[in-house]
Amino acid sequence: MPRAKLQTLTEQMFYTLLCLREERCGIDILDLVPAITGGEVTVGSGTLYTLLDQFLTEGYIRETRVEGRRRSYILTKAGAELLEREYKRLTRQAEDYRKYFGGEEIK
Amino acid sequence: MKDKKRELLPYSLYDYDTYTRHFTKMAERGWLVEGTSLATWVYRRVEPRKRTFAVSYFAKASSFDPEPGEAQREFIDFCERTGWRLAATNAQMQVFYNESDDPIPIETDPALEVESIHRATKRMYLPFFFLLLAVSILNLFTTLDLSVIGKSTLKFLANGVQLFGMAANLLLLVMCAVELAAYYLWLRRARRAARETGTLAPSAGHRKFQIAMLAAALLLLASLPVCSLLYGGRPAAFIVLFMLVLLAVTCLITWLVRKGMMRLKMPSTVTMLATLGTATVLSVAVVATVLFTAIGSMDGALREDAEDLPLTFTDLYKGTDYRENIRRDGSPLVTSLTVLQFESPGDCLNYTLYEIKLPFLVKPLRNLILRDLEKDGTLDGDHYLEADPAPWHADRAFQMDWQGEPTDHWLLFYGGRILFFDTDGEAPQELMDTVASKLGGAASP
Repeated sequence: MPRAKLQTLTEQMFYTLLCLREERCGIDILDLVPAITGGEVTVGSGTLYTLLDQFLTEGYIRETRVEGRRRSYILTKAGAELLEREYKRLTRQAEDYRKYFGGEEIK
Repeated sequence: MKDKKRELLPYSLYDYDTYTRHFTKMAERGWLVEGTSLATWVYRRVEPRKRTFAVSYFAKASSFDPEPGEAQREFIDFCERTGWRLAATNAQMQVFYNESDDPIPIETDPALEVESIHRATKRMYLPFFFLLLAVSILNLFTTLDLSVIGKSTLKFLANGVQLFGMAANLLLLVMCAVELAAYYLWLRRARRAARETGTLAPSAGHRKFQIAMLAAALLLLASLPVCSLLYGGRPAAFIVLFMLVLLAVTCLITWLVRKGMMRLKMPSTVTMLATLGTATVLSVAVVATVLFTAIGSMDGALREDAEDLPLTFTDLYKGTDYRENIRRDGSPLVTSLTVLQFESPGDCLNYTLYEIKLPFLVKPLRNLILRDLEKDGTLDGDHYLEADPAPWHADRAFQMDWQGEPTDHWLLFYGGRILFFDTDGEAPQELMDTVASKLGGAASP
């Protein structure tokens, strides 16, 4: 997968993994990502399909249920660690920002 | 009023920009793409309206699938959830349309999209073009190897079918090389754009070239029977037309086998093997049939009309009860005529006349043959000695020599005509005068 084997995650990767903290099927993720981000982030159906396929291959998620064509997934331990690593990276960036701007708003 | 329309689109599989634009324009005119059939895109009439189109690539799909597999259906379900409806598929290419005003795109990550396209092209598109490139190079080397020297060059240039084969292989080579180079350039550009700017690079690059290539291929195909009829005579034209009909039938049967297997819902691997098997067996059968027909024509099954021969048996000898074998070949560059008329036992007329049709080719082709003759007196393994051309009224004359003894075989140059003539014994001056005027185009002495 590009992005140096998931050294960092795109917003779409991040929210897809976040949605899979609970067991969900792909179609649910399409609705959930815009819902939890207030429409700031959307995942295209083709992009989501590719992401799920690659997360599955890399072992970051696992398939839990198949009902007809609806497949459900959940985050694995490796996926949770990846998500946590990304959270820490983003937090560190936010802290660096605060350190430099001290909570001021940029005018 | 027609409700269906077909269109041939010579664009690359990965050229999503051009396809998307084209399908959008067609839908605005009231034609919605609904599938592919016999190498064309099929449209159905719909209410003209603005629809948003998107071309997506699904690597697991195949043009031999009887219907979308489970994985592909799941992908289609995903797209339908965001309002995208599947309009048509062509192997890995999936064409969707959306009727809402501002739909969420199917692909929202350019880096993933580029890799999706590359995975899809690796399935069939790239192997197909690499294979065609290898075949065209192999064919060109084989053809060139046979025609680099001496008389073979004349034979080659006078053989319309062989010349057509060379032109077709050259066209194929250029087409494949440009297609592959354009693809890998786009891939490099697209990967860089996705990495550095987070955008998808435009895919359209060589559309005009592709249209020109298609036009050239159709022109070449149409020129084959016309050239055969004009320069090769009726038997050659008959064989060429016969070959084209057989090839068309082969394509049709292969297509019917694929469609039939898909209708029977056979697994895609079985359909692919059956289709390739049918194409291979029929192609071998076509080649065998054409060869058999060509050999038949030499045996007289497709007898050439002897009426318009420049020199016949009766022009030189008294008998009328002779057997004959006449062969014409030709192209817009060179024509050849081989005549064998003989009484058994008795006299024999045997000659091959090459005529170079284009003035600018006369000098280089003559020089090509003369170079070998002047160097060591050989031409295609035969040894010749230069003779006085005056009795033949020729520019240059050479007589074949066998173990130091002169033979009856002559090679004569008359401007743009090159003549291989057998004198069947001592040649009287009268014979040489007749040959010069009838075959050499020289003024009657």
